[in-house]
Amino acid sequence: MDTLPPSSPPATPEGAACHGGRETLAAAARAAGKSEVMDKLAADYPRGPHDQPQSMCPAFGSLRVGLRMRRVATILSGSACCVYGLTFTSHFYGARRSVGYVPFNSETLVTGKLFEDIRDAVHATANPDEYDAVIITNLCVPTASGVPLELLPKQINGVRVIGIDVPGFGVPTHAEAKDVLAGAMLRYARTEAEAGPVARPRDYVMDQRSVALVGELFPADPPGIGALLAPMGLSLAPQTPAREWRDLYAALDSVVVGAVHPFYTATIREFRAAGRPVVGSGPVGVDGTAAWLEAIGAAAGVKPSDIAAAKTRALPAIRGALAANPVKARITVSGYEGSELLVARLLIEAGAEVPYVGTAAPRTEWSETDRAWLQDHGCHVQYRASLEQDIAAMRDARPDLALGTTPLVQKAKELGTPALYFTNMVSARPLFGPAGAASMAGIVAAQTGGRERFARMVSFFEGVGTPDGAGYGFKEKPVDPPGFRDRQRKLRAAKAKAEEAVGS
Amino acid sequence: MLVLDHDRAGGYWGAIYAFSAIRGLRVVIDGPVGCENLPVTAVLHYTDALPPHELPIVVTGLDEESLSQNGTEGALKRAAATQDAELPAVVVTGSIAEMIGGGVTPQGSNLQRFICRTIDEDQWQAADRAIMWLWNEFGARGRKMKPRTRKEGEKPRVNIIGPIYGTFNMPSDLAEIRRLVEGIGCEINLVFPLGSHVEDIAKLPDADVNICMYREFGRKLCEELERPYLQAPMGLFATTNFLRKLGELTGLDPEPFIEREKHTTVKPLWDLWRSVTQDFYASASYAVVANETYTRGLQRFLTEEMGIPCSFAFARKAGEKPDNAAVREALKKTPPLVLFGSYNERMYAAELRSRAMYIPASFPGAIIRRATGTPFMGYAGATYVIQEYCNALFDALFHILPLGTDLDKVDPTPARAGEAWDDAAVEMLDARVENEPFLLRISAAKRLREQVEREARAAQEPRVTAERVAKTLAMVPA
Repeated sequence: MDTLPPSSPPATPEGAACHGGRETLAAAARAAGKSEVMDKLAADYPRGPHDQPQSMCPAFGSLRVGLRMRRVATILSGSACCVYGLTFTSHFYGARRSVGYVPFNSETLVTGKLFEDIRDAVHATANPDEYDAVIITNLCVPTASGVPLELLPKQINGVRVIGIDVPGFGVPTHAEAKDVLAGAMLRYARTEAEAGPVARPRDYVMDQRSVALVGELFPADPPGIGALLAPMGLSLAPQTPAREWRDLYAALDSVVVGAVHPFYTATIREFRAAGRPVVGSGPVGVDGTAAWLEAIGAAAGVKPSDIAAAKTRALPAIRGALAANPVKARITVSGYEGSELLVARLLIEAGAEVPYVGTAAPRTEWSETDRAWLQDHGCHVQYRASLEQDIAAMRDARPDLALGTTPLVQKAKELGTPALYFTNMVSARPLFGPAGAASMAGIVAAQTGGRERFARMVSFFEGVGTPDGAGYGFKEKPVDPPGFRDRQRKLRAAKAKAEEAVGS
Repeated sequence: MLVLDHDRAGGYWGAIYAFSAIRGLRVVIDGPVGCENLPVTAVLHYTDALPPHELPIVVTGLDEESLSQNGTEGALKRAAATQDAELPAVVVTGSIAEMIGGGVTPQGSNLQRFICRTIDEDQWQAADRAIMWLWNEFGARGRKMKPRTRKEGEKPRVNIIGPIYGTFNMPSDLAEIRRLVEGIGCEINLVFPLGSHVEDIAKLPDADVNICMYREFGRKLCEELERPYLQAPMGLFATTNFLRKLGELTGLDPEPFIEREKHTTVKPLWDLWRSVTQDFYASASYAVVANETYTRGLQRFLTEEMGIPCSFAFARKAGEKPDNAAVREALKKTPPLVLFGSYNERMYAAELRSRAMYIPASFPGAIIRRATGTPFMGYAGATYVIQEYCNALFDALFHILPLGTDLDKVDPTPARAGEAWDDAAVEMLDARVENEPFLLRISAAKRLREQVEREARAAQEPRVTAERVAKTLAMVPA
């Protein structure tokens, strides 16, 4: 896969320096007689409208985390566009729960009235009969205007008040926005626990040594992981992002933290502040499970014989599940959930060929073992992948199945390539242990088995839709009026000339 | 001010939905990736069924550097260059770009800027201006409006103004209005903006009458075009009035069409009116929470024309923030039997465990209405709405009637005569029951008797004997 774009180094600074560097380098390459190569590359891999990774509006991530929690109210401070869109999508994907909104206009924004309105809204919402916490989120404009959420009271009538800034221009992906809220809540809970006794977590067992997982997992996964851990004398603590406030105390009470999703930087900072060791990756496939059990066992100070016992119990079952559910297909994987590398590992162990994984998440130490394993298995890993990189890889690899984001899926289906939306179809399945090993084959087979159907649809609808017949509402086949483009060209030239005349 | 579950977007969404409805025009959003993702990739899929990158819309993907150092001009240039450069383009700004003064178009480009006022206006106010802007920039170009003179033998022409993306139920309503206009003998000049080409815009004055689809947007242009205009009708008599007025304005006789419609499209209204289902109209209430067009239209049709009581009505009006706490309260205080509304009202009803039957009538909410069989406007709309109201009544009955398999979960009453008991057997059972605490005696007697009889039957004994009672009681702890 040497034609694929190179993987970017960790924590590349974006912006002016980066663009400047890119252009300078491109000019240097052309000067060195590489024009032809550069033209070919530019033609093959056109730059997109921007270099941002693919993502929902980042604020969606934190919004969803709050809405899914019990006894937590959510209020957004942002422009109506953001609030409407975020409320719409979170009512679809998050929870059937009201979302509060403190509106502003250009006047209340500059006079500081917005902050007063926010304070009033938080006071009105903080009813201890209904809520344990109120989350108030500054979106782009209030963040950029410096609306000072830190001046809000820390609690009102026993209801915690948590203010966070989640600007869409500053948080790169919605995955990382989950971390912004999860980290803020964990920080609050940690200071509570440090200050004195806290409410007892539900189903809390005294002296039980537990592992706290980080990441939104498919609901069937935690019990499966609990079973993997049992031979080491470890149980599972409630995961983060949490479902209830007191779960946070139980998570902090763990002996080791499993950063299953690798982008929870702020959350991990809090666990570390609480003195908890952190282990990356997850129990995925045979190799992944073996390595993860060893790492967790070592971090928790488990006897080697108990670690061996855990492996002896888990690995044959996983091996068996993989053998019984083989995946025979070439698959490209891209997504913005943060579990893309783990999914690729599982697919490869099940027999798939996975030449490319693109993730919107950044490169962190928590996915490092996955990256190394994938590289050893011939898979290119692209962190902070843009849509253009994902599409180029998909075109290049000609997969039997493309797992990806919504625009990538659209692109693949237009080419007649079976494709699935990672978020809906892959994240909604078990990934870990034997259950995970058995889960992938079904969806891959179901969708790749439909290849002929995809081809038939493509041939039937050839030429319909993008680019010239985009959208709907036509009475007849949409065709440009004759001479339209010529007229536009002339108009444009005339306009440029007029502007030039003004300039001189 | 605290608003719950906000029900419409800010200005630039309305602008995008209006501009991308025009063919041959591309849209550049100046903003972070979320400013494209929410209105286009996410929501427009769940409301209009469009795949994410169908429409010619790109986003600059602003980041912190654009805000603090670079501005957005370079980003605009780059994003616009990924589109078909020959087509004219309009730049719209999301709220953060608006705040930092983004959207400044690069010199010498064919990018034009539309000021969305996204912080201060809502999506309908901005859509109203955007529709007007299209006319000013690509149609009027500073020229004065001329009076219309129809050529000899030419059919009267009508514009339908207002259809844009992201509008609840628009395809069905548009199809119905088009059918009515053509039905009395007019010709459609333009449906605007949806589906019109950017070069068609100059043809807007070639119409004798304009029809304004919505109260929320489109009216500004109707006023500007200096032709008589009519609001699209909802309801049986409202539609009849509309057709007569349109006939008057165009010199056509609408009566033959109205006569035909009575026997066809709206006959179900007459059929239902003469039936016993109409009996319920006067008492089976409805409520509506929708945009002003739909709320007023449904009230006029269902209450004024059909006599159905309205338990409450809230109109989502352009430029006014909603009071959803009041909607929630109204659902609690005056629950309707049939609820026309959006996801929000459906959620509030669910919170109350309400039995109101929900009929979608508004965004927000994921609901695709691209098929054209669900109009609310016109004759077909009157038929559809009353049909759905009646179906909701039938459906309510479905939920009220007991479920047979639930009813059947009681003790059996066998067809055979009751078991015959020996006197000694009765005495033995009575003695045992005497030992039970007084309060429990009745249930103990029933339980023990049934158990004895069950075992006697199982053993195929014709009578219940003392021996059988002794055996059974021995198994039951006292």
